[in-house]
Amino acid sequence: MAEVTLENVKKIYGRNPEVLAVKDVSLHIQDREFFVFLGPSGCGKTTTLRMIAGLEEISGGTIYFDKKTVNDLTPQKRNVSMAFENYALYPTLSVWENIAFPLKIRKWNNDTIRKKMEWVAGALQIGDILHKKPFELSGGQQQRVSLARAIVREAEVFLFDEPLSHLDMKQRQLMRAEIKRINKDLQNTMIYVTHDQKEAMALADRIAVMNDGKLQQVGTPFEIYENPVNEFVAGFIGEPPMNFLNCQILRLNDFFELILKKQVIAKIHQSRLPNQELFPQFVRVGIRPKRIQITNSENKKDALQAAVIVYESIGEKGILKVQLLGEPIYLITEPNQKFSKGENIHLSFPIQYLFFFNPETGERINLK
Amino acid sequence: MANVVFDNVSKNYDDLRAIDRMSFEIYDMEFFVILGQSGAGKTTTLKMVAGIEPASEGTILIGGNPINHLTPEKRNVAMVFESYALYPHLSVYDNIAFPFHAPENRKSNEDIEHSVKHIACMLGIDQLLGRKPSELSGGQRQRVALGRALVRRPSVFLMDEPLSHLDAKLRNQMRKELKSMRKSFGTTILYVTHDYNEAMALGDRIAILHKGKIQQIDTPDDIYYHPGNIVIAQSLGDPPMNFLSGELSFLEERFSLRTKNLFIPLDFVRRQDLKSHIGKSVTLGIRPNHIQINTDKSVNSFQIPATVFVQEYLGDDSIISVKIEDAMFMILSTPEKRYAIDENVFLSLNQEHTHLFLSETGESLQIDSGKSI
Amino acid sequence: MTNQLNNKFDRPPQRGLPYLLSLPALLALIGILYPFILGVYYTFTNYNLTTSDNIKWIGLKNYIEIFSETEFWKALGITFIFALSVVIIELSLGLSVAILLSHPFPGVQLLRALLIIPMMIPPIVSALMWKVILLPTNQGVLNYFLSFLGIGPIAWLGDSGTALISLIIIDVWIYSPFAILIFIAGLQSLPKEPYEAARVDGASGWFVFRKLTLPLLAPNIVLITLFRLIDSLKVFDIIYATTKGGPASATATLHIVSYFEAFRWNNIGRSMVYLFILWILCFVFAKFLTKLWNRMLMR
Repeated sequence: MAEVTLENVKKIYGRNPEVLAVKDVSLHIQDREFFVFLGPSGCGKTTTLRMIAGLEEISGGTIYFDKKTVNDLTPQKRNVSMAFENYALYPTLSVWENIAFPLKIRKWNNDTIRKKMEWVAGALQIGDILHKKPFELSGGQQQRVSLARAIVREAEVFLFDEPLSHLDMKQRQLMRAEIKRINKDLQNTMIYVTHDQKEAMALADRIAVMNDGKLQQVGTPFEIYENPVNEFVAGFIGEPPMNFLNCQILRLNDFFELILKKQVIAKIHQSRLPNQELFPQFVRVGIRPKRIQITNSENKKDALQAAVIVYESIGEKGILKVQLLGEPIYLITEPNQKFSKGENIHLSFPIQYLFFFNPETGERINLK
Repeated sequence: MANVVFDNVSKNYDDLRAIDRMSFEIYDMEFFVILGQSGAGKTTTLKMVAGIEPASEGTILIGGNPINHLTPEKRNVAMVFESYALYPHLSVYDNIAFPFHAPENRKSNEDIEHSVKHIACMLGIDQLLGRKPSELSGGQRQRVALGRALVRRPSVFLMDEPLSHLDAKLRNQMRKELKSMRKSFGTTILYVTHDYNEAMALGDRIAILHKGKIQQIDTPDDIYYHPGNIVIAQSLGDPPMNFLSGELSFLEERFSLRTKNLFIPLDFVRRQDLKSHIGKSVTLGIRPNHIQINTDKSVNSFQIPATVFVQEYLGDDSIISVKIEDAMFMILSTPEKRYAIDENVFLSLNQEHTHLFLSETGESLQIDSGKSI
Repeated sequence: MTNQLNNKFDRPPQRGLPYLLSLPALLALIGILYPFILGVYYTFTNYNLTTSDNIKWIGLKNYIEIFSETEFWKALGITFIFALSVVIIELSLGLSVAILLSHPFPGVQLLRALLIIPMMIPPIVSALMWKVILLPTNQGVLNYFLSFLGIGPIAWLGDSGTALISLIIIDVWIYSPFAILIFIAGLQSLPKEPYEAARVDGASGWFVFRKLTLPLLAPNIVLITLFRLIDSLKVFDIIYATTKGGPASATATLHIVSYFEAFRWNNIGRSMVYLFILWILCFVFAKFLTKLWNRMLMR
């Protein structure tokens, strides 16, 4: 149990100090928090985790556990435990020995070890493979053992590097729920790295979205989804991701019209604009696939005509791809609808669900 | 006409039976998907059609002709591999034109150029013909691999997990492109995958393969809503179907499921011949989107008491994991409502979408025996 | 629907191809098999270079004779002592040096390059060079240096007590670089993650060596053992160039004895018995070690 604070943390690889794998990351992870670093591959999230673990040298800045600087401490001294993406199991030890090893080093007595093993074997469903050697296990099983070895220890901070990446869908779903529950029960600080936005949303108390070595946004899953600070964050969350359209803005009386290829797609009353002068002439308009409405009446004035490209009905939901004025747009619908290729449908974009981004910087422009 | 018929086909590797007496027909121009986990025998099936692996028993027919004895190049099938297997030193044009080097397919240069350009236009890569594979994105390489397979105008097109190497976003995008392009391919397609999303999105029909045996062949919706056994039920859906085991009992002209402490009425079960199963262990199955979760107990209808294990907020929706006795149930719900850990909740099941399986064999007790295979 | 087709039609019609493709190997095999079988045949004859026109089948007489002589058993013992010693020393020396050289420090690249030198010199030349180093008087380089410590002079190759040890030193000098290179390559391809896990868990250095490094290097150990054991069982050149099996046959291995049987005593039949037994030994070890190697690769 510990708070973790990063202050202007940097990572330089190689000799060129201009090439930063991690650029001035500052953030504060609270005690008992489930904190997730999310981003595409190469964004610096794993490097950041490894610097917290003490496996990677910190090129600049400071990392604190509670109030204590840990920059120069070994992983062992930091008292962290870690689950690795590629399992990192000890090849000659059985599953049981692998998991019990960190406990034996810490001189736990056998009864406590046995109790802890029973608990973890049940939670991660590895009870039937405890006597096996790592090479006898499937990738998914090895990953669960690696996870078990990390969580049996009573470490200050638990670190997870993509620990569910090799599981099949069903196992991943179950393990996700188990890990989240274990965090709530054990009340340990957990720091987790993933590229899977769904996993991040499901697990995290707070998410740090990273891209290109830079921290983009830190917030609860709700904040990240409902209130993204820039186009990158908005586009990274959700499947299918948010739709973006390049629109021109023209003033008509009290309204500002969003125009896509000479057609008005929505109107905003001027009172909602924070600063009319600063509002650029062109904006990127974003809307989530779930929020686009399909309207029945063709006469409706604001409705936009779009042509169906493809419709997929996948059990729980339907995904519709349409062409709107030459732009591909994705919609989430109910499953089992009937759409045929080339069919014309009518869409409307509810103003309350639109996001606006500066086309040059990608920064979010907020309405009142 | 290029339908594909499997007539009692088996495949043995030494003493391991990889494929067990497989019989079905893929119709002409159909998009047919085989869905199964790794090791189920999917790729073996494809390889038998392609002629890379001989069938141990039975006959495979393409367009009515047995092909067991034909070499791969004489079967007029094309295959796209899991890795694209493009030639790195050749341009996109030469990669697509490559099949014409084979003596069977030799053509004049004008004809080759015409074919390559036609295919490239269809796949939207006509601007890239001069480039090398290293200069292409993952999606573009995928299209080149498709082009190379299609340029010979095969009568059957085999695809072995062609999207599995792409990252999630590109995979979802390519899936839609594949679906919107597939009519223009003009071939029968046999597609193999372990991803149920791909199977449901692309397939006209899906065959569920498990441990070398075909479990069910049906349209995606039929398989999703009327699975013939537990294995089939588990293979589609995210989160997967929930299961609760108990004893089938019959009281006051009503079927119900008896667990340790619960008596769950099974009003959807009407078939009287189920009476022969009374007292047996059965498994109730219901998908996460067919459960309603309530915080208050209703007086009018039956509800199952449960405690919240954990809730996952996903933006578009939310998954609530709950425990019913020892069983974990996942419920797909709207993101707005929040539940606390260990909160007591009450579940009502959508009876229309509740399934019942015999625990011992896993077979569905609702589907007429004729329907499941 | 048609019935099951016969199995023989299942296979694409390329039946001749496998035989065609293995034809060159078959030819090469004849070039090897013919002299081999001829050699084995001679073990059952009285073939002698002085009476070469009168080769007679004498059954197991050569074998019975040889097995009853102490010279054979002594040669067998010397062969084993030599082979096992060099393998064990080269493995442990190789691993220690490889671990030292796998940490980056200034000049490590140069050191690694220098290590290959002994392997680039023909073994005969190395042996002759060592013969000079190991000269029995203080003219010998080694004895000269030892004299400063007040040791010696030691006769090295000239003394039946130290001759075998001297040969082991020479072999280790020539072939340890082979083990070092294989181990360096092995160490560099080890997975990083288990070592990081051990750091996080706080495992001791001994644990890391015993439970991670050694088992992960097991395929390399088997590989080196396979090459070095077979080679050192058959060792001939360094012994012939230095002691010629002496003094008082203290370094007479099976291979050396077989040579003298053939070319000093002109007795090809007996010489071939020695060689055939040596071949059987090599074959058994090679078979066992390749099996072990295959099993490790399966993991």
